[in-house]
Amino acid sequence: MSGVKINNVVKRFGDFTALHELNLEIQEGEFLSLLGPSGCGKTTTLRLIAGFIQPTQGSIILGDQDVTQVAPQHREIGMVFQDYALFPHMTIADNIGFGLRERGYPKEQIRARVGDLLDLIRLAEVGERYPAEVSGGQQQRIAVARAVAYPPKVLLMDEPLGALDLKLRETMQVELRRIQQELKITTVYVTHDQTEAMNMSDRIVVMNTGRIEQIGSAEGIYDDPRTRFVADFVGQINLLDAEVTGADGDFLIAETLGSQVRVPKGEGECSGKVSIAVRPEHLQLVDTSSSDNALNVISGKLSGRTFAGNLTRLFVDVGAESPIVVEARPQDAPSEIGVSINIGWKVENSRVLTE
Amino acid sequence: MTTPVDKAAARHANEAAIIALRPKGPPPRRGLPWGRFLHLFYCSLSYIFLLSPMIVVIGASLHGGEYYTAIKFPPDEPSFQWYWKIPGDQLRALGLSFLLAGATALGACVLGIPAALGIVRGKIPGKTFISTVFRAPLQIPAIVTGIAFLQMFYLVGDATGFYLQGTFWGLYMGHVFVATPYVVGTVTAILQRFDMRLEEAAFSLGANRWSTFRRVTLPVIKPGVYAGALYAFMVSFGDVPISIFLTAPGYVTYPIELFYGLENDFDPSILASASLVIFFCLIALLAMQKLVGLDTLLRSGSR
Repeated sequence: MSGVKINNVVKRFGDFTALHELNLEIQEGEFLSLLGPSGCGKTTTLRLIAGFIQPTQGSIILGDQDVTQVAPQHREIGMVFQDYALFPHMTIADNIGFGLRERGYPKEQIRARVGDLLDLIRLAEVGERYPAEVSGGQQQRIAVARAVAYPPKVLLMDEPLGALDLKLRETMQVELRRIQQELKITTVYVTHDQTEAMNMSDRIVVMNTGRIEQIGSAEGIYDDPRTRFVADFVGQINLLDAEVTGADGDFLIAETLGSQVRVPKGEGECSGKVSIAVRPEHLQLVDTSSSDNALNVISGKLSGRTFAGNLTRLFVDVGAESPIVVEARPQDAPSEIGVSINIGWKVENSRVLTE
Repeated sequence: MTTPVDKAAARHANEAAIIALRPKGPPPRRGLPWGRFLHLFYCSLSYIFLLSPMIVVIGASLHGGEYYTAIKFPPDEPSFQWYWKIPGDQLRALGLSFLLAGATALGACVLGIPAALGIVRGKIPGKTFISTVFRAPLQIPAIVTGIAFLQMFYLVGDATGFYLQGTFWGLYMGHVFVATPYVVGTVTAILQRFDMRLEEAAFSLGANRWSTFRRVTLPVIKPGVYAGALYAFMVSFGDVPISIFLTAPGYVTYPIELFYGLENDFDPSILASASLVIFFCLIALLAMQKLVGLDTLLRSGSR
């Protein structure tokens, strides 16, 4: 048993409450990402699990042991820091073997384990070098090897790819996921990059201002955001202010910008002011200006366009505060700014959000 | 009321005015024609200023003629004769000074490193006040410190019957007092840049506090410690104003011995022993440069 349980944890720094009554369970062997903007409490959560800070209230269970009062050095965790925090005065091999040496393992065994890990991270040849002599991506993998040398109950990673450039970051995502699956290690991964979280995680926890907004798989969170914050933070989305005017079976009738639209009913009751969320890739240019039961249509004026290679983003002014973003195939996109266009979306592709 | 058209016209006018003032003709050549020469000249002057006293001392120590009461430079008939005539007292004093300076550097580290850790890391009230107090010995004129120590030793001696003046330990206390602020200063500087995540990483890998300090913190702040120790050594080795109050026959440090020597009658053997020390320091510095890298050391920076 080596899952992690966070029970009713509150963390205050002076007057500032960083975490409000957090409850979270991480399964054994799971790769779980904490996703959110800076200041949302994700790093605080990670540091609480590591034991670098103490919860103001609540408890933290590692495996089947309550570790709330246990010092970090006795928690048997592995931690990977954003800037890696490799020991600059030790060779790579000594860095990786540090945890084993501290725990008094015999030299032979340490050397064998370090060798295995260098193979695992595909850096067998750098063992005798110093951290300053290897590249950022290599340092990153070394930091992971060091964290798992003494098999930890949970591997904690704090934006480990933040310092790398985009291409390397993509390679490392695959690499980290491979290492995690090979070692079947329970992992908590902190990031503010939604692509990163979606690429790697079994489950994603979206956090905002010290609270959990939503927990789910990448698909679940992208397709069914439960709050405006999640919808907006994960991927691009158009949010339209609307007023619910009635219901029709499994659908709600709402009025937005002078048009009647239909949306699938969400969980729970909803009436009055809501937001209707539609992803740019679900919007299409249509010829007619009238909606039917399967298609919602609103009209507006093209106010701008950007070319992104495989698609063209159209910005359509529909009279709302911000323009609606439509992703169209480049060959379909009208080129004349100011032209009137109708945009439509299939009813089942929109969501109604109340929070 | 200004319309957008007016604004645009005004902007165009301003732009035209700026362009009109653009310098005409080819761009000026970079640097002064005499720049290189001036640079060389200025640097040479600095070096001459810094090195000439030492060159004169070493040169004059090679004086080959008869006993001579003034410095003779350049020396005629150079010889090493005065090197053989260095009084035994000076050599003994030199030995004491090395021992004292070494011990002072050690003592300053033992006191200074924990003090710096407390100042940077500790959650103690009045931290700025404490760090000011630790710097205070640098601001008191050393001669005042010397008198103060002597007075204190008398008072303590009168009260307890245990006199420290004129003993090695009395001298040692005075030296550690003025040398510790250097270690506190350099170690504080490097600790402020210390990445706390290194310690967190060590904790997460199962290292306890002591082991983390010994195997992670101390090696990383080592340049600061070495730099502080080097300063402490030099301060102690060269000190006159404090030592002059605290020495007694049998415990005379080298600079004081030289001072006495110059006071009584001038003798070229003093030049010879001073030259020896210059050479010794040069070799020590070169060795240090080889071992730990002096430039890093004096910057007291992490690598």
